[in-house]
Amino acid sequence: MNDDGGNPCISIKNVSVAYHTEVVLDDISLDIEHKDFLAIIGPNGGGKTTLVKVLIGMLEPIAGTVSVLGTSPKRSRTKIGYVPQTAHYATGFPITAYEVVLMGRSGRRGLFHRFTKEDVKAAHEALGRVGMLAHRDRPFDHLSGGQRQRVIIARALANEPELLLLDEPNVGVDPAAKSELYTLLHELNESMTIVLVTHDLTAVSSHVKTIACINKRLYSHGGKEIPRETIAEMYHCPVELIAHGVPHRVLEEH
Amino acid sequence: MLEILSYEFMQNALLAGMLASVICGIIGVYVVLKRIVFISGGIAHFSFGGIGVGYYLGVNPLLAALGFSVLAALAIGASKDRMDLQEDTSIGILWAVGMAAGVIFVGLSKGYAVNLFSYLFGNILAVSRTDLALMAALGLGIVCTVAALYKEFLAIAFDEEYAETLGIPTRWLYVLLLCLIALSIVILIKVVGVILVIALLTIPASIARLYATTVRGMMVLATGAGMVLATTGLMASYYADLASGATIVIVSAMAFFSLSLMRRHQVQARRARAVRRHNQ
Repeated sequence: MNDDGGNPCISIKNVSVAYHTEVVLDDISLDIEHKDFLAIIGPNGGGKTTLVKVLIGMLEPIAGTVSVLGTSPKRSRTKIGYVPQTAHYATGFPITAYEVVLMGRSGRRGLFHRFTKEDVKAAHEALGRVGMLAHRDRPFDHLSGGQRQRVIIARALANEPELLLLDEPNVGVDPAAKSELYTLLHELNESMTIVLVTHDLTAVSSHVKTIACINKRLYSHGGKEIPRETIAEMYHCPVELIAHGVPHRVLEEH
Repeated sequence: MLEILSYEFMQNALLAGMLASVICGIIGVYVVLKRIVFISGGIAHFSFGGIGVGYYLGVNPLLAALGFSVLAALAIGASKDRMDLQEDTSIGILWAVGMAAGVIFVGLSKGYAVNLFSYLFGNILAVSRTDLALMAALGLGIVCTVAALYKEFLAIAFDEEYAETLGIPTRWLYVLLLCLIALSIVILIKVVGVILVIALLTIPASIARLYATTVRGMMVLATGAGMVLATTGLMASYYADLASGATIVIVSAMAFFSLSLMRRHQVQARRARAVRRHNQ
């Protein structure tokens, strides 16, 4: 399924995106290979979330082409597992962890149709995969930040995606849960492509295979070592750097 | 106590309270969870303009109100995320314009004086058998629609953006939800009035949210709470000789206020116990 005759998983060619008249992404070109684990980093407001929205077909670029899994983002939606920021979930919504996960299957069943046994099974498997099966019937509201994050990932997994897209998965998650999250993503990466967006440079751990730096335009893309100048240029301020294979180490202090 | 139940108007009023509770118990849950109380208020008050226009043109005011409220629902649904004007600003304008149009057109209508007050607070004691049949039919329609689209409405109430990435037609479902709200409001205006409709859409659902762990459970609880509150309010208004609709609103608000205080106290006590256990 993953092999599209050598085509990359995601192909972004000369893409520009604008809100009203303000250009947020300028001439981005980027190929993401199958089974890659890409971290898109960059400052807040640098267009990372915008790029995610383009990849899931929520935003149309003003120029350039995007192909995801060999077709347009909108068409490949069913094969993308989108994991939005958990922080945006309102508290006080009466829903159990299981119901949240089952929601991931809603697109497979047409309007007016009920969930099938297959959906129930997929939801349970997804909960098991993220280690949340024991919390199945707990209110989503009562879970910790890290547990919610896992449930939201399980919701994406329930749809059996080929590509997992995570938007700022570290926000609202404590350090211990953060490292568990990376272990989980590392496991999932064995069977699917993962793209995660973050402004937190320290979070990009040894699990990531490649890194792309975005601040309106693409500054670099490749292995895990980024030239110091690129970071400085991109952030316009002193930042912590990432060392190859050593998570959370600060290379340079200003 | 029971002799008041022998009056037909009282039987009808109680039945109307039950049916209104079912309609508002289900629709109100979405209004509260999707945070569209203000939008629902806007739709309700805009429909008031329809009542005025109906009187002026000699058309059935409720039919005109239905036209106005559905128009408002469609306009709000269609303009979502597309307007430069902030949504709450435009709803506020819609709200005021509807009321103003209602007052002006009623003033222009010659002949008889219209009791605008009855449209604001309704007259639950004047509900006819026809009204009840209409409410029952609408209630059934709403139960069926929500049952058929439960998973979709749940998805758009919880996370509309995600629902869209799944390929669910979120915009259409949102417009449908607003139309269901508009329909409910118009059917209930004559019975409970514009202001009580908003109270019934929000208060029982908010009470239910204090205890519910699923949306389905919240609907059942909200319906039950609405029935108890409508009945209590009706009885209180009868014995204290107060306006029925307004009494139901006050009784409901008092119940919500005391229950949320109790609930907060309960949750805090439970947390304190857990902390003590942890520290031992």
